[in-house]
Amino acid sequence: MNHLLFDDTAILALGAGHHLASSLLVASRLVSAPNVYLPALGVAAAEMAREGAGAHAVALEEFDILPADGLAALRLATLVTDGVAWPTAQVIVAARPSLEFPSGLTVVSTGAERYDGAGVRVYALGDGDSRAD
Amino acid sequence: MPQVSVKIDEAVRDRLAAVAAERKTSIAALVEQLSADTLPHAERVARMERTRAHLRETTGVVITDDDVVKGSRLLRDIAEGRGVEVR
Repeated sequence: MNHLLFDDTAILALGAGHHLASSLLVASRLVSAPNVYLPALGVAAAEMAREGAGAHAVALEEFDILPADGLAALRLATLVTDGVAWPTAQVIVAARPSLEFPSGLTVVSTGAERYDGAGVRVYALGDGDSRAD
Repeated sequence: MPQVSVKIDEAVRDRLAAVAAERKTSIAALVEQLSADTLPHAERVARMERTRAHLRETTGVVITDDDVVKGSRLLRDIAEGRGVEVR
């Protein structure tokens, strides 16, 4: 099972009523669905970009928050040193294969191009209020 | 809470023990976590309805039953790598 990771752009889109992001979230607990994770730094970035957007996502019980601790924090530091933004760095680290997620996580984003060269799986949401069809 | 024993194949026990060791936890704690992650269908539906109502109240977005079916299909597609790019 490829679990999903909503980045800060997806969190912002969800808070703005993005139809496809909302449909994915609502459906995520109905079927034998993947877990949907939020990166802690993505929540912070979304909240900084638009007050209330991070809080809105945190209040949704479908999401599990991914912390940036231990080995993940060290890997994140390497990426940030190379010029990657903090929230993007956490997503890249979390999305790569790990002990907890051997096949990695699939990133859901409206800004897929920021992951170019990172070697992670990305599902591009699209900017618009697209329907789930 | 009273505890009970469960009979399972030795191979299953060994696999659970290996996963528990990797996660630095016990088999009992691992099974408890797996149980919490495996919700009965009625509970899944209830959670879905709560989320649908919450999103409608907070963002105004209306997710119909048809949207849920399409969303479920898309989740399966994403899980199987369809429409997903490696960047």
